[in-house]
Amino acid sequence: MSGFGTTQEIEVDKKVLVELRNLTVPSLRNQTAAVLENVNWTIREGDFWVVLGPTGCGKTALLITAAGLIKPLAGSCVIFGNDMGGLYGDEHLPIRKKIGFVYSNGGRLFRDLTLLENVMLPICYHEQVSFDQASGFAVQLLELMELGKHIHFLPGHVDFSARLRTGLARALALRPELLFVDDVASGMDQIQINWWISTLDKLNKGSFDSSFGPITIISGFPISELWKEIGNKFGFIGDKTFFSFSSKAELAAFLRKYQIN
Amino acid sequence: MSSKFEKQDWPAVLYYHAITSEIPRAYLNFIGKKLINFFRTIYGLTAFTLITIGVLFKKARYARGVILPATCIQVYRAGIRPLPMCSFLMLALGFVIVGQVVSILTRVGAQSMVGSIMVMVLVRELGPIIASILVLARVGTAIVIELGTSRALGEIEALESLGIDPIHYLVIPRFIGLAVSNFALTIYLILGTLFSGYMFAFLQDVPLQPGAYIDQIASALQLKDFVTLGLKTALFGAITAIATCYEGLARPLSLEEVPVATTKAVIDCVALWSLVDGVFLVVYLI
Repeated sequence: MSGFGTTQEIEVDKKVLVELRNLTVPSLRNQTAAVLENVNWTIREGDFWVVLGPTGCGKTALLITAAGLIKPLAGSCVIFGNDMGGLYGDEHLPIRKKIGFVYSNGGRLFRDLTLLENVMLPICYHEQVSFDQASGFAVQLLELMELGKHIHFLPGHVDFSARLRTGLARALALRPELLFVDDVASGMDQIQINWWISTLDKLNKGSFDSSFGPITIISGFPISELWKEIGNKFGFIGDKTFFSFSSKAELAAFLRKYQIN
Repeated sequence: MSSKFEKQDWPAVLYYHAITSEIPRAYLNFIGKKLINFFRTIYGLTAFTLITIGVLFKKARYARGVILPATCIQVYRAGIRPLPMCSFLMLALGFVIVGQVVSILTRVGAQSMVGSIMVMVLVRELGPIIASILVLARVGTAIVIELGTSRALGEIEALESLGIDPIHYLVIPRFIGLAVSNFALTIYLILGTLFSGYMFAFLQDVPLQPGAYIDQIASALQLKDFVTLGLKTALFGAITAIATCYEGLARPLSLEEVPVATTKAVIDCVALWSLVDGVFLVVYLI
């Protein structure tokens, strides 16, 4: 599988948001073990990356490392022009506020707060407003997620798809420029998947809501046919390596060649 | 077994084996492992305390709209909700200590010693310990479980991804809330115990006037009793918060390790309280 797939450097005038060079990605269960090696990845403004890979290949670990939430074992990770390895403590904060992360498996909501409080927490914390003042925007976000009737429920009392959408609302609360979405398609029916496809597409193009401009999105999915419907850049993880493709045709050829799908 | 064993002198045989055999390696390993874990816990707790105090001062003005309500919730949980249980303990302690001490002292004619004994036993030692145990049992174990479960479910990483410092959002409210609540609850417990103890003494027809009782206690109290009581109870509350938050948060946990962390936190708390108590005892001896 080696030697196939290179990033086409044809859009050099777009701003580079994240640059990974020779990165070794640590495993999430054991942070001294490497799950991916020699990752080279450039994420530019306006991209909509769809990263595919079999289960357990390290998609989540790669997305978490690219978001700067974990230190890589080797190599450099430069996010918004800052080398994440050289920053300590609160120096991460301005970058952290520009990145949103939607976790898989229910979005990792805070179980003791209602859906509304989950979305309001980052707004109240960073923008130094009280809970009452922040609730307007949070309610608007949850209504865009079609959860207007459930805002006062606890996460344990709503179903799985509602939790994931609240995870998206919480990630969007600080109006990020870069959004990581880790595997929101597992266990979902086609109606939910269609909703996610159209929402992520609108978020990427900036037509989701007047409060949001275009957002660069990096999403990870298990191997499926989803890549045919969304995305403008593609990645594939296999054999502990990350391959990137800049068009659907390249990805299709790759998948055909190695008889995946 | 051959017959020669029946004829041997058993005390001599046992003595011989006791002084010539080596301590099995397994026992040494066990003691060594316990000591190493003990020093590791001390190191971790000290580092965690210093980080918490650092964050407390550095981020005192940040996110007040979130931290102040959270602190109030912790004060409510640790200081107000245990009040019914505290009231029951007051009655029990009043009967056990005050009632019985007063009746025994009356029998030997030493009613004048009641005040100083109350101050020595209740105000200096038993009051703080009982109140702290109550707070630990009600709130401390709950803190380990809720923070440990959050850690196991990855909510702490979710907090970090939102740029929220977990120490600032989770530990600081509990640190301040438990210190304040422990102090207040101890004062309530001591006052209530003194009052209920007198009531039991009164019911036993002990010839002790309320005025005389209050005078004895007032004369036995010194300024340093007030200062050390305040400091000790606040410290005990802070220790409870630090030890329980440390066991819940500081290391990667999986869900099945949460009960182990809870019992470990209780042991950490009791050990640290004894240490602080010893330091304050020195203050009285000097």
